[in-house]
Amino acid sequence: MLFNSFSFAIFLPIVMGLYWIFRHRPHQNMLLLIASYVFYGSWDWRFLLLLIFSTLLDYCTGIKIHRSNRKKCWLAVSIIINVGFLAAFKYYNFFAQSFAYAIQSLGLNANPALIQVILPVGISFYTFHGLSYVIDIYNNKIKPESNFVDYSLFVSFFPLLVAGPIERATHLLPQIKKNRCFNYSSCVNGLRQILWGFFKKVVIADQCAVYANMIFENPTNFNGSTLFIGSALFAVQIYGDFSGYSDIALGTARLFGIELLQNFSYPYFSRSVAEFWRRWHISLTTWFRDYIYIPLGGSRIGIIKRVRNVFIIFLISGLWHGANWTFVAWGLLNALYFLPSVLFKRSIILRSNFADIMLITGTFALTCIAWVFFRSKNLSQAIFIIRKIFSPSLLSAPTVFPWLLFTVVIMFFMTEWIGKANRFAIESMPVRRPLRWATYSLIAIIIFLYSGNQQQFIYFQF
Amino acid sequence: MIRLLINISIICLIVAAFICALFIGSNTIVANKANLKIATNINKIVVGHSHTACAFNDSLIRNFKNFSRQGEPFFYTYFKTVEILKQNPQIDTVFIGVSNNIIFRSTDTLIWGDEYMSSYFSVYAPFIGLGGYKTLCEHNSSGFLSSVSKAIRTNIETIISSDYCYSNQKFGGYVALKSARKVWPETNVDSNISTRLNLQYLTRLVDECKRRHLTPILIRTPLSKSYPRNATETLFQNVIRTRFNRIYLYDFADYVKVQEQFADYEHLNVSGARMFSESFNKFLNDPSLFTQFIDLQFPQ
Repeated sequence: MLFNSFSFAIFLPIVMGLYWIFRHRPHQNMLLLIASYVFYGSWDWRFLLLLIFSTLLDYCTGIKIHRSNRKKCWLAVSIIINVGFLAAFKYYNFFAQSFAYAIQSLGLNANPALIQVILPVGISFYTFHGLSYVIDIYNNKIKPESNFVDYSLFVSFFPLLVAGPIERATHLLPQIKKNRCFNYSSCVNGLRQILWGFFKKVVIADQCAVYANMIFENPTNFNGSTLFIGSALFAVQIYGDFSGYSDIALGTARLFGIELLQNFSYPYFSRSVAEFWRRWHISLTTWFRDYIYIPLGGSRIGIIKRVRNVFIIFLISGLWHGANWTFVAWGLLNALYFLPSVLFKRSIILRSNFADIMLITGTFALTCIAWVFFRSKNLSQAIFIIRKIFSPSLLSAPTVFPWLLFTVVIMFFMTEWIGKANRFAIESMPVRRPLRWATYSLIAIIIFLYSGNQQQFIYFQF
Repeated sequence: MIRLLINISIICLIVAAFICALFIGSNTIVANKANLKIATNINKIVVGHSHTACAFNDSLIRNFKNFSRQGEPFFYTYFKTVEILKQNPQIDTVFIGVSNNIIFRSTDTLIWGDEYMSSYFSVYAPFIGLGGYKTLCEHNSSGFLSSVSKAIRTNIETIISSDYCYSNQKFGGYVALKSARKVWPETNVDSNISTRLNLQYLTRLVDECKRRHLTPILIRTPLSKSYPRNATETLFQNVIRTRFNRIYLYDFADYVKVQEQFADYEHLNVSGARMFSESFNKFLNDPSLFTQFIDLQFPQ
């Protein structure tokens, strides 16, 4: 069941209606848990077994870590099994094949046995939920949850189940344990965020995808300027797609009186790559910071170790996105971009609009180059595209120039710029109700008109 | 909660009303302005799916226009042809392409399958009546909604560009196949054919031609010897003989013997189409030369 599907449009009002009819928290939580399992099981009921197993594992190990004297041992059990599942489903074939290629390049024969399984939807996300929970118990930040339904809901709450945001037990569990009453303004705000999320997904991302896919499918047919346009369109596509999904998830959670972590904060208005990573996929970045970077020493160690840590984080971040060398290269390139902020702690502060615009444009251009690795089928295609972008053909006229789409994208970013003080661009509109409603209606109509060309959310594959 | 429901309902109603107005309004404008007029000397047309689209190079056939479109089911062909006939009273003969695959159950999914519906509906929406919308909506309501959105966009683009000429490739035409196409296996053959919408609309198309005192002629274009006809031939013949026993069937299925003239088992390539179109041109001038291809069992 996709957020942008007909079935979800029926599913959500039914669940929401029943939820607010049940006034007692245990009933509400049970309903949300059942709804979450129905939502997840609609992809493939077998995935549900894995989700339930993962939930049970972390629930039990959480209690064991808290009660037992062998805390480290139980933590290791949880991490090994969680990461083991993730590795088996997501990375086994990749590493087996890469190892075989390496062996073959030495002239030896290698024929690895590969496993034929579909990657369960959202495994990377709920595994990280579970890991954060057990690590927080180990670090005495929280106590284990005794109510299995509440804990299960924390892991599998349907708005965040398949593509995040990656929640923390310290943030979400207290909300699940608290009594929730219907709040009109919170629900309206949620609906507004859902509307904006759909606009980002259907109107921005899916339309950019048409051109980005065309250019990336046959890069040899295009000149440097067109390839750069293709990578810029992909940059807009992935932002619209993923932040749109996050907005729908956050808005949906608000309909149930639950606030999820903000995942995006206008990343393309960043003035440096370091700032970009503080604004892009915030829940993942902070997860890596809290559970890998800081335990490795964080910023309170020597410069060489800090550089090493940055590379480790971005390497893992790349691999988290997918089992392909292109994601590794994307991660490492971002680590290189990130280095100046590690080496020169004091950033140069420029206080002029022109300087801001230049820095924002430069950061966007750098991220576009990195996205080439993320989008390409393989490393050789990515290198071919980068080479062509940095060739004299960059200065030639592009063969693909969707002016109407560019106009829409520019208007979209202008709206985001105006609304950047809010959590999402149209959160507050200081205008009278008729004009506000007319704006909502117009956005809904535009979404409907563009809804004929729907594409799957990119982050579902991760 | 009630206040929220009321407000959502009001906004939904506004949006739905506006979308309906956009759909009806843009359809009306396009339907009124659509230009389907063809040259006055053209009095014969052919409609159908890819078989006729690839077989008739209409530039080689006198007074003849090919309006076939790849994969097009008779549901859409019917509405399209009615519109063509309305604007071109000089047409006296309508060739309707038939082939063994019109009896496949899978042909029905070409009418309301998500991708197909949005592709055909976006072009033909202004010409399909309420009954047609109802049929599509009954079979695939979510697909119908996304097809409506695409149709509105297509209409708006047509209105903005003022390109109301539908007699060019928008409504179909000759398709020159140079390279080999993917070969589609014959599958989903099923003897229960009576409820199939596609055949119902073929019947309606034939009836419409008769109502306008035109000559409808079923025509089967050449098929390769390798085309696995055995599985469906009896059924195909039964359908034609029982449902259309009052009109001619021009059966050219065995006319082209050389595999090199085909792009695959069922579609003629450029050279095959040239040869066949030239022969068909001669045939139109003097049908007596080709009597063996005319099924005389069904006199008009």
